[in-house]
Amino acid sequence: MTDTPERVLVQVRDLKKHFPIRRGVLRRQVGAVQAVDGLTFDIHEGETLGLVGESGSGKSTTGRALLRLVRPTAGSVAFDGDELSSLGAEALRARRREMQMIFQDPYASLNPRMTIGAIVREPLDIHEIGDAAGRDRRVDELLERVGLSRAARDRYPHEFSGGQRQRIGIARALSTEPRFIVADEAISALDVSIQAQIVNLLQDLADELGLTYLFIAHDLTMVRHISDRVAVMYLGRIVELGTRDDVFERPLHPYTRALLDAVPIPDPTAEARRPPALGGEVPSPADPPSGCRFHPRCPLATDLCRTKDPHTREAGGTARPHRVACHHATQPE
Amino acid sequence: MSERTVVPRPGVWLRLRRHRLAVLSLGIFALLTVACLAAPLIAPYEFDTIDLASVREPPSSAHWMGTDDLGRDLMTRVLYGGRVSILIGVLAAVLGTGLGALIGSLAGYFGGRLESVLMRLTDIAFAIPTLPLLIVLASYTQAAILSMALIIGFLSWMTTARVVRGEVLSLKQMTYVEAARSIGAGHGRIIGRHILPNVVGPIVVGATLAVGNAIILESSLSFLGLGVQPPVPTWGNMLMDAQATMATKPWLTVFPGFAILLVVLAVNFIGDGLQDALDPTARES
Repeated sequence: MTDTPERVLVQVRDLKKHFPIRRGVLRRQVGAVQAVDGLTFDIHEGETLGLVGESGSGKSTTGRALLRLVRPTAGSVAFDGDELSSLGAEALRARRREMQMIFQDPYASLNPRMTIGAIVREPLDIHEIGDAAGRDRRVDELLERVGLSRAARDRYPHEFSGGQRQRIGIARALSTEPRFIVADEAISALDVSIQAQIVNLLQDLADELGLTYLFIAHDLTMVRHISDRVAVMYLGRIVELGTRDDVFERPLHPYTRALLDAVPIPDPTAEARRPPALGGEVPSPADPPSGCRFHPRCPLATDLCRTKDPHTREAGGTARPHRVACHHATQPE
Repeated sequence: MSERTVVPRPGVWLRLRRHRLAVLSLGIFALLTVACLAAPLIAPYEFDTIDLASVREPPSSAHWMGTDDLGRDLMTRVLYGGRVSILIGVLAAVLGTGLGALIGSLAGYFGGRLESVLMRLTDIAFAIPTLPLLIVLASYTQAAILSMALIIGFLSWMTTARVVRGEVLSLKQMTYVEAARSIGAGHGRIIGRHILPNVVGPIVVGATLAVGNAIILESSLSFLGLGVQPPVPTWGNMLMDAQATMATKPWLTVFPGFAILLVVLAVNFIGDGLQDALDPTARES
């Protein structure tokens, strides 16, 4: 962490994304899946914000809404001061140069009919960066930077392994020299041995190029390894947000504690003494529980939790504010 | 590491060449086309020379494929007929398939009201019976090869449109399409570079089938008087003329029929080979 004043690169205010549920011949809307329901947070220039949560908590939708790959239902996302929803189609396209995405499935995210060279070069073609020879040079450079040989250029995606394909996806995301990258479960589909390689590559790139990441994952070990700050999502809301050390060492929200307790411990005796895992399932985001959304699964739940939705409040924090949305959150010890 | 061993990737043409049947078919198709184009040079007679002394003769050394009702040499007529049939077949197939692919991909990609309008239009075009429409058209248009190819093309785009729309609907959900959007690709680039190349399979199949259909449809048009007018032969109108005598004078049906079969088969095999050659993930056999 540096002492320079923090510059906010991505500012998210009360972001909501509801997907309508339509039924019947008339396609009347009968409800909505509240995938993301009121998020407020900042991502500072140069930091890596980890975003964790179970499947269905709205992590991916958040990442997509930040890049405006889905249109938010309400709220605002500002990138470097520019409100994205106010940009016209052309201005938004131009802005995409600065914000890129790395996708979860390295098999589905590369067009099988395009050569690796064409895939990595495409962003340069779209944004008309450099001349033809310059773009070719840049493609070679990028491939080498992510650890592939230049010979990969004329080959097709199916000739590569998952880890190599993910490197290709990273090269594509880097080609336009973006400032902000959303890594959406970028390592979840890879073998464990490859995951570390990719995470290290992402980290080296961040240090070298001053990148800002939103690192979406459900593997807490990797998030802890790469993140400066961590946000925990549950059913479309952020329930806890703080520095990595605050969240991992001094978790405040019972959900965060449950998640941390669920991380396997590589020691059989300690593993046996682990507290029981979180029971139940994530309720449907189309019909979230009343009050605090976590109350049906929460060991601390009281009547207050069943009726009143907890506000996000600041609860100390060492280097940075530590925010939590819980009636009963207490500083441990 | 596989990426270290530098093997030059075979291009489309090289991969097509591995497909033996496709290469053979390409040869046959080329030979037929050249022979038909060169008909005035290689045909033994004039296509409209009537010889009433030798009417409906079976194949002989003087007339390799026999003669028709008016004593005209059948081989000459098959060669001349191919000029019209092949041209119309290929032109109409390209036109119909292109139109179908365009309409199908627009409907599938953009969805919403545009899709409703385009697909209802497709349903309507499907529902219109071909024959009455042809009769109406026949009374308004002059018979010319180009206008016939246009008409046949406009009558045969619907199947392709439906198939392509279905494919596009599923392809636009692919992550690489989202990836293209995320790097700032516009609609044209996404359709042209990310979606359509992945639909070539059904499009090529549609196009090859359309060649045969167009050749047959042209014969119906000729029969109605909209097609190419006698005495200029086409494979279609030769078949039509021979209908009544199919049992007694089989050569009148067999030779033009065989010519159509040969072209349709060849085009199908070419399409087959092309489909594999265009797909980089296809196994090399």
